[in-house]
Amino acid sequence: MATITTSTPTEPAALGVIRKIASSFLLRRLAKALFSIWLVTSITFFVIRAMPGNAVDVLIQELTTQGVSPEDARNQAAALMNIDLDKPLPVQYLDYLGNVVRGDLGSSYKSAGLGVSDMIAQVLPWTLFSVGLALLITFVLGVALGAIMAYRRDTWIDHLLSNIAATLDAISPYLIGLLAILLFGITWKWVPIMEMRGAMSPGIKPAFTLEFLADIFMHVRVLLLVYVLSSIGSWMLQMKSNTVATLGEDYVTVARARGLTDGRILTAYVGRNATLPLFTRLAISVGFIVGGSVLLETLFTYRGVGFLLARSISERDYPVMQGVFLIITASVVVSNLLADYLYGWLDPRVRIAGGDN
Amino acid sequence: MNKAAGSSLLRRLGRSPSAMAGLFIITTYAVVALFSTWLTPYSPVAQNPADRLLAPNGQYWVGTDEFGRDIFSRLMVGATNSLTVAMLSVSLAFVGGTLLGTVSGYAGGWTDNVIMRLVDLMFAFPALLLALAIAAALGPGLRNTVIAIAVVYLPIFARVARGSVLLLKGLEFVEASRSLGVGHARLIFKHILPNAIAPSLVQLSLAFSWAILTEAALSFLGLGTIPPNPSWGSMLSDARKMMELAPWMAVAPGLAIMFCVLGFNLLGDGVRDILDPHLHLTKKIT
Repeated sequence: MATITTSTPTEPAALGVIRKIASSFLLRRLAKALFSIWLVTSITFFVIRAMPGNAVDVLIQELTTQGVSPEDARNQAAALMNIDLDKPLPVQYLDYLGNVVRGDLGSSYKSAGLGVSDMIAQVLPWTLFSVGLALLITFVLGVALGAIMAYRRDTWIDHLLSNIAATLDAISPYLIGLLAILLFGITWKWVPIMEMRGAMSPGIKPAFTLEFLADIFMHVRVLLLVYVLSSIGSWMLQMKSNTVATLGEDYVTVARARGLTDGRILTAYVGRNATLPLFTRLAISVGFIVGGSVLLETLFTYRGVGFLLARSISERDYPVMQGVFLIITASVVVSNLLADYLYGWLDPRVRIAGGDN
Repeated sequence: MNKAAGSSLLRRLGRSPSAMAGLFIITTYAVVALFSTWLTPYSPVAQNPADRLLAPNGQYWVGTDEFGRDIFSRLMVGATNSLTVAMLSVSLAFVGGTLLGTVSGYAGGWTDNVIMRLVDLMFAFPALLLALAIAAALGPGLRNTVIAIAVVYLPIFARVARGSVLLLKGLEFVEASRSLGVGHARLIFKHILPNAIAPSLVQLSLAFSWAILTEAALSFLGLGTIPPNPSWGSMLSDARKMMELAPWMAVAPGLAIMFCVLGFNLLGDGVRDILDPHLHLTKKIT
């Protein structure tokens, strides 16, 4: 009782601080993001470990049929999955969470002895490079073409670009990829598709030389083109509709009436407002970079994260699958968080109202 | 939706050439899918080594694959498999999502918060990756593929249904029914749901095209339909290794998928333009 009475005068101040921290837009979003990552991590654990017919049981069974004694099979499985099967499930779960926090994702059980974190680290640069570059090209081109479409509305160039964008948007990426291989590689023989497999040629050393850069570009060029073609349509259309909407705003009319130049109106009034939602989308898309494209990387045999995921799925390599999904989850959640902040930073109207959300 | 509204919808669809084209494509696919067992000129699985890798000709309209199987027959049975998966998964997503969204919107408060948090989380992921994760955890086969696709597209229906229920909840006729002592279940199923369903119907046709693409993608990666039972996705995957020798092996299933998806998109856009010109809820497969 005594402690309560003595702390009474200071409590409102302390509570106020806590309330301030808890109501902070920044911290609440961060907490939400961490919660999402924890939730997905936990779901993954229980699906792989605790469901009937789960991956660990399947692995033990598989090892036993290969002639390993049940005892050894159990130990091997435990070692590969990085868990102690003798401990009760809640303890295993805590161990697993601890390992994940430390970046230890277990070992692959098809590529013997290879750590999952190392395997991901090996393929991640290629995916970041190819999808990241494609995203950048798509964003710049999409914004430029979309703005042109809006400024030249109802002219032949708008109709042409709109139709192209709508068509590209409707075809699924792997069909565009197949078409590219068929046309460029087989019908017209512009590119050697057999040599293009992988992210770089076997003999070449990764270094910052012209030869190396030319080689990785040779391997990535068609994939890059397919990425851009399959996503640029929706960027163009979104930019066009944003720009058209912004051009109709009163402040643009006022700017025109004041006699501002077209260039000034484009950069300071229209461009800034029309590209806002696209920047949010860009931030969210950055999170998707890590996952790469499972289908396109498989189609082009490009050794990135998507390729690794597809292979681990076909080989039932659960630790690898689990690791890749975790990395993707984390990057998706973090990029969503960044998108929230970015929007508040770019658009002061949201920043002021942000606390209410 | 009542009968008068339904027939007026059909009449307005009839006036949209692109929606009718979509309907025509879908009907063709549906007929092939329903009767593929009797329509196929050859067995879709029988191997015929003498006729390996033949280019399209008079006998085999779209050629044969590396085992001498008739690709046209495989495409037809592939239609049955793809459309079955799409139909089952979309129905499941539609019923489950609509119920979840309705309950969430009707109950409000804490229940609503938890359900919508989960839905938001699922929405944040690329559709294909989520389907992949679920299908990989469950293993290949028809039932698991259906579950994986249904779970991925369930949030869309949940959101749409919740939106309409929130709107309806505040209307006078609902309040009147409640003040007359109508119970929760009766209120939801008899008064709210029938009025909340139209926006969800708009999503149905588009969901079909997504489901077909997702099924093809899963099969392409070896998770959907189990070989030798043909599916468009696994045919594409087989074709990948034969690309230089037999490009028709890739072109045929590619076109089959494209036209099927085109049909559902055309119809879906037509229905959307009529029912709700403002609704733009899309989820792209990456």
